[in-house]
Amino acid sequence: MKNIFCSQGNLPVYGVIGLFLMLPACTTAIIDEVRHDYIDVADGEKIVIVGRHHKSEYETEVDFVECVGDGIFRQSGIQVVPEQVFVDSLYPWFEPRTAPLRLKGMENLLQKTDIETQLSAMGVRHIIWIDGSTEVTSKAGSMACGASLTGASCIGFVTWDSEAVYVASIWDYKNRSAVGKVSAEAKGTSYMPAIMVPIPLVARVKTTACQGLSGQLKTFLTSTEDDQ
Amino acid sequence: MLARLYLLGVVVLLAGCQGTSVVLDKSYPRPLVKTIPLSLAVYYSEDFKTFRHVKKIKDRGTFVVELGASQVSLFDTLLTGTFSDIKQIESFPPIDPEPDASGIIVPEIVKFELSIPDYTQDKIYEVWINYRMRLYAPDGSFIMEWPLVAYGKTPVKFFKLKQSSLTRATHVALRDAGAQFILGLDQPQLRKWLSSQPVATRYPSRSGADPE
Repeated sequence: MKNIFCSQGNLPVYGVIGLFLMLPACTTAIIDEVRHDYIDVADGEKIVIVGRHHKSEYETEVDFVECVGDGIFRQSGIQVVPEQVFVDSLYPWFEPRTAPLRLKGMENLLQKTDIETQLSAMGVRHIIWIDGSTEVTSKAGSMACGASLTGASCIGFVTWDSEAVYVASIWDYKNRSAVGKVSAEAKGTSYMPAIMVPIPLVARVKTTACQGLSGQLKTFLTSTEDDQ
Repeated sequence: MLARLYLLGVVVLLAGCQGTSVVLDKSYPRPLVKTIPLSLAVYYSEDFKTFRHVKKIKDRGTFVVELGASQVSLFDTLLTGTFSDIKQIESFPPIDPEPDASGIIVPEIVKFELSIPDYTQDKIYEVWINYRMRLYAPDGSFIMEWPLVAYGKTPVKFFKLKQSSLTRATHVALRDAGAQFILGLDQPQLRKWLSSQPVATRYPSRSGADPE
């Protein structure tokens, strides 16, 4: 699924600068899904979304995880346990260096510890792991700014490409199974021309990835075999 | 108005030049573990209770991490959540043997290191804390020791102050220390010592867990 998101903006209400600020640059998003099974989130059951923090070069942003959780709740009404509440309740088994990376590790954890009781008490059955991050992949251009007693100004042009790549893996801990994966990849180029004042035209790749991922996860969590 | 803007600019510039001071949160979650029905004493040395790390980095200022109170709070939460009875003692070696304790735990910091993105070219703040955990008998005689290596990191974020990034990295490292402490309880030598203690009759578990 490929989507291109561009804002239409709100015409000249705020003047020329305001117009530029209202116009984010375009982003392209690809959303993908692999389903192994259909799931049924029962009434009153909650889900939890946890970011991966174990890799040395990046970690999944807390605000992205919150954004996806808010999106799922808004679109489906499914309750989402906040990541920090979940991680604190099960401390120290979901810390960056102790969290299970595969189902086998989760099975071992369930056998060795009391986390199953805690998960049941929280009303959680499905755990969604999000792995990925948003990075600036390339930059070009330059800008010079100066200040004097009469004021400050900038001149130049800067552009940068951003890429957001996230994969969500859905686990059903009661069945000890991975039920599927949803991925979102968003790319965009941002621009910042400056003639006196810098005018940022920012591609909102992270927001686009969040919207795409939460929308697809909502479909994943709520669709049944009969819908197909 | 212009004067105020200049004043604001000067304040921002000065803020950028001064050092970074990290004061940590003191609340840590209770570990989700089966309580070990054992009475232990813990001793925090003055150095441990007031530990602060100061690092000067050329052109980047001075970084100060106040770790003492936070790590005492972490170990208090960990030990009270792991053992059925924990008592803090004020001197070590004890003047008189601790009659109610099966052993005395003494944590100490061996090394604290931090790295900042400007310094290493990486896009993350990192913190390493090396602890040495020592276990003594109630009369103060040495039983065993084990290392505890904790690590925390946080990526660089646009418009995020280096103080809050470094605070988060240190907080993650302390939580990791707690995780490594819990995992370390499973090591053979310590398990052997724990299982050799006559705990069931003398020190019943608060959680009602059966002694292993």
